[in-house]
This record gives sequence, C-alpha cells and structure tokens, in this order.
Amino acid sequence: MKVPKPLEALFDTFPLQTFPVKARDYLDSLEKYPFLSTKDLASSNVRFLLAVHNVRETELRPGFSRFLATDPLGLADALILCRRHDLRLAGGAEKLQMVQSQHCMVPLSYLASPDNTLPILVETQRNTTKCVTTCAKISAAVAAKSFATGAIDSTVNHFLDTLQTLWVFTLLHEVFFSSNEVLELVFAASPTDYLGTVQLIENIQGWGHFREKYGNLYSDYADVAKAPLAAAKRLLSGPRPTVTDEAFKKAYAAEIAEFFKTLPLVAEHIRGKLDSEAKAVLEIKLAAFLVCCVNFLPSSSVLSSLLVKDHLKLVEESISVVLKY
Amino acid sequence: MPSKTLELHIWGRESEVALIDPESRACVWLLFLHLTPFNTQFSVITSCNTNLADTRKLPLLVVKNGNEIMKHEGFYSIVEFVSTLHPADLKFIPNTRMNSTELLVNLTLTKYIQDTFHYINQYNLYVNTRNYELYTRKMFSSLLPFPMYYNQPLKFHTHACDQVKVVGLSSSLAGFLGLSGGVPDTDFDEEDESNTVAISALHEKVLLAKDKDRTLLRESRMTIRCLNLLDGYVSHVMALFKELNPDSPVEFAHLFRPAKISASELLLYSYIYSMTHDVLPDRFVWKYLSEKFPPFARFSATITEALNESIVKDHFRAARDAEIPSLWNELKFMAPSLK
Repeated sequence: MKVPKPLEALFDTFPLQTFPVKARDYLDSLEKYPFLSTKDLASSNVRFLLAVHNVRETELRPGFSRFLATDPLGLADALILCRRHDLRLAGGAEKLQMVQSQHCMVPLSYLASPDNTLPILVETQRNTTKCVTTCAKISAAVAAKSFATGAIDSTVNHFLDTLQTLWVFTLLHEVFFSSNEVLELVFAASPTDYLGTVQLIENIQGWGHFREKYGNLYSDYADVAKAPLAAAKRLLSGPRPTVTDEAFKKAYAAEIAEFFKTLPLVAEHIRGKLDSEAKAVLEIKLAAFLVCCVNFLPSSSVLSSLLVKDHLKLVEESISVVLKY
Repeated sequence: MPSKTLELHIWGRESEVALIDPESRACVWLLFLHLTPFNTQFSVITSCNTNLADTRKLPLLVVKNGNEIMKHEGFYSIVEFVSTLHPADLKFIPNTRMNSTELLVNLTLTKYIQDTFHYINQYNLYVNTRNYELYTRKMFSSLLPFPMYYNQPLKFHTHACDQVKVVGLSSSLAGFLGLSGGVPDTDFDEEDESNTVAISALHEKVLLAKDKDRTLLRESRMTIRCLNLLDGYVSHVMALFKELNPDSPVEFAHLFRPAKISASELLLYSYIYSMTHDVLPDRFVWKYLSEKFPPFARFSATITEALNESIVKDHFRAARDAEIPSLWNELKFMAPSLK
C-alpha cells in the first residue's frame, strides 16, 4: 500500500525524533535534612533515609535551634539513629565545624509508606533501595536490642510506645473540637486542600491502632439520631465520620489523667537509672514526646498547656536531651 | 448528710460475672476485697447495658451522693476511686499506698496487660472457631434479652477480629508485599483451587473436605502464633516478679507484697481466669500454661479461687427499668424524643 502524497508531505514536515532517556535520581528530588557528623563518612555508599511527616526548624532555647521531625515517633527514631551512629541533628550555629553525612531525614507523604504510617527507614546502597523498615518494626527492633534484659524497663518502654495512641487521640481531639491548626503544624497540611485533609484525618485514625483500641467510641447512629441537623451540618462543613462527641471527650480526659499520673513516675525512674543503652532510649522516647507536645501542638491544647503549667522542669530536661544531638 | 451509694454495672447474668469481660470481673473482685472489710455498701448490677456508660464500655461504677451522680468508667478510673475512698491497705494495696517504683510498675503493667493479654483473650473467645461457636455466641442469649442477642455477638466478633490484627493474629493475608503484617501465608495452591468449579457431586465433596482441612490448618497455625505471643507475655510477667523480688525462693507469687494484691495483678488473674476457664470447649491456653509455666498456673488458680470465694451473692441485683438492655430502651437511647 502506498502512502498518499499529501500525508507523506505532512509527516515529513514533522520528523520523528527520539529523545535519549534521562537518568533521574529520585533521591535528588526530595527535600533532605542531612544528619551531621564529626567524621567524614562520604566514602561509604550505604546510606539511610528516615522518612517523617514533616521537618521544622525549631528554636528550643534562644540561640539553639534544630531541624526536628514534628511527630514524637519520628523524632524519637531520628534521635535513636543519631545515638547509634554517632550523628547529630541538622541545625544550630554551634555545629559549623561538623560535616554533613550521607544519611538524612526526609519529609514524605504517609501514603508512600507500605502501611500508611510514618516514620519509615529506607536503606539504600548505590542509589538502589535495599530495605524499607516500617515504624512498627523499628519499635520492635529497638525494644529487642535495648530491653532484652530488665523487665521493669521493658514495661516502661511499652508504656512510652503506647504514647503514640495518646498522640493520635490528641490530634483527633484537636481536629474535632478545636481547629485544623494542628494539622498545619504537624503535617504542613494546606488549609485549602479539603480532600487531602479528609483523607489525612481518616488515615490518622488507623495509626497506633487507634480505631481498634477505641472501637467503643465509634457508633453508627448515635450522633445522627440524637441531633440529625447538627450531624448533617458537620458532615458538610468538615470531616467527622462516626465518633460520638461525649464518649470521645470523656475517654480522652481519662487517658490524659492516666498519662499525667504516670509521667512523673516514669521521669523519676529514668533519672534514677545508671547510664546505659536502656536509659538513653527511654530518655529519648520521653523527651521526643514532650518536646513535640510543647512545640508542635497548639498552645491551647490540653496536653501542651498542662505540660507547660505543671511540668516545666521536665520539659526543660527533655529539651536538654534533644539538644545533646 | 445523705450516704453514698455505689453501683457497679458489669457484664454478667444473675450473680455470675461473664467471661467475656475480664475488666468487669477484676472490678467485682476489687470491690469485694477492699470494700467489704470497711462495711461500705455497694451493689453489683449485671446489666450488660453499654449505653449506660458515656464511653459505651463496661465496667461502670455509678456513685450517687444525694442528687449528685458521678460515673467512673473503665478499670483505671474505678481503681483510682476505690483507692482514694479507703486508702488503708488490708488485702488490696491501693495506689495511694504504693511507693513510686511499685506505683510505676502497677500503672505500666496495667497498660501492658490491656495491650497484650487482652488480644489473646479476644482471640480465644471470638476468633477461635470452636470457642466462639460453641460458647461465646451462645452465651449472649443468656446475657441479653430478645431480640438484642442477635446483633451484639456479631458486632463483638467483628470488633475482636479487627483487634487481634494489632498483635498480628489475623487470618487474612499479610499486606502489600508482606511488609505490614506478620508472616505471610504460604499456601500457594490456595488461590488456584478456590476458583475450581466442581464437575460432579463427588468432586464437590472432595473440594469441601479440602476446604475444611485448609481452614483447620490455618486456625492451628494461628493458635501456635497466639501461644508464642502468650509465652512472651507470661515470661515478661515472671521476669517482672524476679526483678521486684530478687531474693524470693519461689518462682512466682504476689508481685509487690506477700499476701496482698494490687490492681494490675487483679486484672492479670482476671484475664488468665477468662482464658483458662473449664467451660470453654477449646482450652489450649490452659493446657499450654499448665505445662509450660506450672508455678504461674498454680499460683493464679489458687488466687482466682480465693478471689471468687470472696464474692457474696447478696450484693448482686438484676437490672431494672432503664438499665435493661431491651429493644425499647435502645430505641429511647437512639431517639431521646421518645421518652
């Protein structure tokens, strides 16, 4: 078959051209916060990325600032990694003599994680991903390594791990009864991205097994039947699936009361311990939780305001722990 | 001055506490153990009505002081209330009489039990097919009135199936690339055979038998995983005992003080009691504990027997009026305008 002349002329006017494949390093497109080191480690081609929700430069004390992950789990894991590998967090004028290591902290969407939760640890070798560790596995590995002996320490470590559920509870409490400000602070969520926010709130409820642990707070009908108009209005104005108000507030108050009863005891236990790996990990986990509550929750939130009012000394101690790195 | 009346709402029937809620049983033990010596009056109501509690969960302690009504919901709040009501320690060590290490262990161990033994108990009662079908599901018909006993066990069953996933005890396949869950299932032939269409009656029988075998296999694998978790949890509690009582000649006894029991221990034994009771058709937990941890099993059996003996039936009363979890009360709860 012959191609008609006018068509052939047309194809000749636009000659076919193949562009060469451009190799693109996906790591380059990420916003990175490298950990600092006193030694030059650049020769090794193994490196890890700790993916967290968001990173913010925070002035912990006048003149002392750090780039911190904005959620307790991310911050605790970053600090534990710093301790294990003799690294320091980015930021702070006093660290000018240090060099940037190849390891870094990266803000990433939680949707990139295999189980929709962050932080995850991505280990790469020559730009090829070798291993992705989810946050549950990071916690299990830390517990297995640091708390193989010492049953009391292990129980306290378990308590500090359950604070993730309290953190999720606090985020939801803020969103439901106050405003979405907390989402901007912790996740840098844009206030105009309505659908993204709805999806985020839906996903937050799955973190730390919140939905499974507090299944009793979810009801299919109670809210709608009691106040149908208000329920319909809320559905239109903001994402509020099926949590009942009164139950939620009461359960949250009980959790907070239990937390503040246990907090001084945990702090005293850690203070009284001799220097060890277990002590350092417990100290880091508690400090990360308190520092995140004070810095990244709105100052009107119950947790943050009570910490500043009644436990200022403990908060100061926590800041000192973070500033060590 | 009007005296306080204390009413504890729990899961149960007549003067028996239901196995499905260990927190209810722990609270009943606590009241009989700590309030009877002080002659404090209280009643235990086997109402099974979760709508009475603001957080939709039993146990619930209602304290009436004249017109003032206070609700203490959940194990922690009830223990706190009872500890401050009578701060002296007789057989029970109130939180107020503990030193800081004891209190720390007591509080964190309570949380630990609620995060570990709770899921094993849920698995044992709701996810284990034999126990659920032959015991738990049937029991609801004696706990709740008609027609409420149709929906509730299903709701609890679904919730339990979701909950056991927290500790990796779920029959579903592991998540994306097997990263999020525990050990992925290794039945490669499963998918091929599930789509097979039966070509004759005999073939259909063979397929059904194979299907049954596979379900059994999956369940026994899950049971082994469950026992593996339980082994870790019980070893942890025993290590805790050793650390708190390094000079003790026995392998396991009271955690804090001889012949005195704390809130966390009450909760622990209550869970053990629920998991190992002889009415359950599948007593794999009991078998495992009595063979692997004889001192622990013996001690918990002795303690639970003594605690059960302290329960006096006169304190129990049935639910009345609005306390009954009937259909009419449920409707009134859903739409208050019916009142």
